[in-house]
Amino acid sequence: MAATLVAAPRPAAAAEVEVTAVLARAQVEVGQQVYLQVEVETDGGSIGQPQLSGLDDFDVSSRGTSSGMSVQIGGGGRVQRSTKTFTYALSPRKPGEFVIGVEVEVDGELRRASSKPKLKVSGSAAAAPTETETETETELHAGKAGDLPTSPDAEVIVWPVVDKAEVFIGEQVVYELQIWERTSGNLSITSAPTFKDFWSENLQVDNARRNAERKLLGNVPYRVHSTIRRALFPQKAGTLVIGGPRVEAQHFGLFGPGGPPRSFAGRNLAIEVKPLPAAGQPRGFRPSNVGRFEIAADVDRTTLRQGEAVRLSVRIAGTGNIALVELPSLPELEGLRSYEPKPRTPQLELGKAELSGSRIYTLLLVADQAGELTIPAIELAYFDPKTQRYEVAASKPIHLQVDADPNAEPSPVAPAADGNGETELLVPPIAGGELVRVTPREPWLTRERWWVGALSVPAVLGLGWAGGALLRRFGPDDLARERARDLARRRMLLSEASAAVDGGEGFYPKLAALLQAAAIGRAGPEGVGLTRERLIALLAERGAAQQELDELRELLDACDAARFGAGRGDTEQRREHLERARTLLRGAAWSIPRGGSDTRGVAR
Amino acid sequence: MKRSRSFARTRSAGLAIVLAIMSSWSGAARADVVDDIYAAGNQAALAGDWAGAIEHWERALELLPGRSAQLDYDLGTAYAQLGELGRATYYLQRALQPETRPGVEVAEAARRNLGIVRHRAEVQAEVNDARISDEERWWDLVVAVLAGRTVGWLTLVSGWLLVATIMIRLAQRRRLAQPARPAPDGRAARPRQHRAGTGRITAALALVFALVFVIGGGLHGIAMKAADDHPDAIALDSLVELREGPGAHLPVTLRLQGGSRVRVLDERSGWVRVRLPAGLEGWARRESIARLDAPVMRSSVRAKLPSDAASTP
Repeated sequence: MAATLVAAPRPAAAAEVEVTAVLARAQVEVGQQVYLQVEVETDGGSIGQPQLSGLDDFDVSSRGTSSGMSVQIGGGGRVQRSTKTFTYALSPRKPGEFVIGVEVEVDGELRRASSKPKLKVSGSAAAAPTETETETETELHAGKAGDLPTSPDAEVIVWPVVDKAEVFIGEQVVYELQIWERTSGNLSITSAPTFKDFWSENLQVDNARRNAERKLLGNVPYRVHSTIRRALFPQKAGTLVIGGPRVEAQHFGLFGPGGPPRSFAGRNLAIEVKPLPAAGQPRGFRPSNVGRFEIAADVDRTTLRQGEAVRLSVRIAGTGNIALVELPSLPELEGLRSYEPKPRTPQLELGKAELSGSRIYTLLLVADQAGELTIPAIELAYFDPKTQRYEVAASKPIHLQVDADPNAEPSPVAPAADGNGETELLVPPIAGGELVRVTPREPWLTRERWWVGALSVPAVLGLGWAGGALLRRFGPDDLARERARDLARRRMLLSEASAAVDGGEGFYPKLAALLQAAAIGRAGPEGVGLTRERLIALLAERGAAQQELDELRELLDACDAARFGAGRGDTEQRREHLERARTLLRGAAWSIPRGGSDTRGVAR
Repeated sequence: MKRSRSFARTRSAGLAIVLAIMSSWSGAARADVVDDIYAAGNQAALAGDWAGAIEHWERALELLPGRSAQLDYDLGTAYAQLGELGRATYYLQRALQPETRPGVEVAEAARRNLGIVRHRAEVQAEVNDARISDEERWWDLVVAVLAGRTVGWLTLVSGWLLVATIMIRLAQRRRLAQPARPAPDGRAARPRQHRAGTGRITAALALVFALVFVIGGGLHGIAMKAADDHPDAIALDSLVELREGPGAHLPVTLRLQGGSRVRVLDERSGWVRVRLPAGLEGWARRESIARLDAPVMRSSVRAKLPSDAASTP
């Protein structure tokens, strides 16, 4: 008695552990779903899975758990509470009133919910498929594969079909999940079918079939959706069961969901899998090679030099589990060295009635020998379930023309004459007695210098252009330049006359030109083109001293006399004339006035 | 006063002579050590002990004050003998660098061995399913020539000739603007047409110099900057994993075959970001990539020096 009392679950004490169980609704119809929430609050103890009682006539599925933690700080100190919430979807299979018991193990001790939730279920038991009904569908006769549902009682019929119910190991079975419905609610697959002991690949579903196809079932119109297509390859012999899926229908009214969702289960399917026949099975046969296959081999080039590599591509294509079909063992390759084959990702064709596709293996072959080498046919053995016989697919042999190369590396398999293998062909190290070395010199044209030198060019050009522009803007004007030119010309004439003093050649013409230029320069532009007498008169008007004018006239006359009369005279005389001209022109009045003068029209 | 200054001068001159003698003696002694270690490596190579030869030659390389194409070549060949294609490529490339001034014999042998190593690396890349950099193409040669000193000199000289030509041209124009004067010896002045012809020649020259300077200089500058910013490097390890970022926890983007030529884009805390000529990028560990313009990475293996042997009891 005492033991019974100890073992019996205790109501959860509010201060330590609190277990509450709440139903989302108190009343539902048969087949409708209702959520049960179990919340366990502890001060940090370990919480086990809740045990639910009174749910024999329910389909129960877990919808996950959530956890939370809270810390309260008060007068009594710091209190830490952790909460774990379990959610279940309950789907009643028959009407009645049900009381749901909830027990949870916390720290090894069973705790009961503070209250037992009650659920009232109305409606008839035939409204929903039962577990027992689905179980009766598990056995699938070979002739019934791909059959149609019979009864139009339910608004949603979850109807999985296969294309065959008896197959060999590795043989392809195409599974299709059809949903027949005449409901206005939204459908969702809550539980996917299970494919234990099958290798499965998703196949594409035609959009037309996915959307809807109208069919009659006992004169009741249904929309038929094809939702899932899978290619299945059984991996072991015996009876393999494909687990039935579950679909939920949710109705919506004007103001949101119209009641809890209804759940519909699909049937399980049993597939009879036979082992592959032993008779005629090739040696080393791989059990995944079931279907219909072809094999082809190709190389990237057929002419090469000795020591070079060629890439061999082997393509296996066909209908079957192409992802598991392996490259068969290669035949003996004489004169060729092969490396490990590398498979590419299989290319699957998922839109066809059955799974088909191709896979390419590439491997590198190095030609060790020269001459004509042959890659023999590569053979792939497979079992064709249609003919129920073992077949062999073979590629065509490939011929390679290998040109001899005296520098080619010999095969590492066949050692070289000196036993040094493939390293023989490298030029040996110099390894001389004296190590030749150099001290690297820093070249004059470093990168920095190049940048400085190169960037200086546009800088210099730019500065020159800017200087020219400034000179044009702020430099001497035309008159100043003309004055400078006149001065330069006078200086030139004077120097030429000085140079001609000793020789006499051209002395007097230079001296005359110099004096006339000076006279016109002093007279101004009006003096241009005047005769000598008039020019001197004009100079007199301009305030020139009579003495200077006499000296000028005398010197010009002397020049004329020398040029057109007696000749060049002697050196002393020329020096004297030159000195007199210099003395005359040294006076400030004879300098070129601002504004310049035109000496080009000097009177003769 | 004068005497003390003379004494100080004598003392500093003496000190300089002593220092010079010491430094030359130390250089000679160092050269002897390098030759000894190199000879020890030669002995190991003759005996077929490539690992031993590498150990000695790497030590010799470390102590060598300058560069030696011969030593780089020997090291590259020894690594090729051991099948370490990344390091073989690295040393053979170094042997061919212009600053080592390789002789004809060394250059030819290095090129040949580099070709063999490259061929083996290509096969290895196929086997390992790894990426390998493309072989150098004409474009790489063009870039190398553009970044070279010859183009640098050519563009620089062209630039300054352009300046000179423009100055001559300006002087000619000034002269053309002046009236023609008879020559002092009485001969007739040069006709204006003749001077205009000379002007056209200088204008054409200026155009040519300007084109060479602007185009050649621009390309040289770009190529030089690219070489400076993204120096060439070689993948040393047999397989170098390039990752998405600088960290061993980050996913591998591709696997690089040892001996691949890459450009270094960035360096960060033991990782370098590299780019293949095809444009693929990734981060690799710094020790698995060696820049060709940098000094040789120090080896952790130490050869036993003759001096070490003498000091060992």
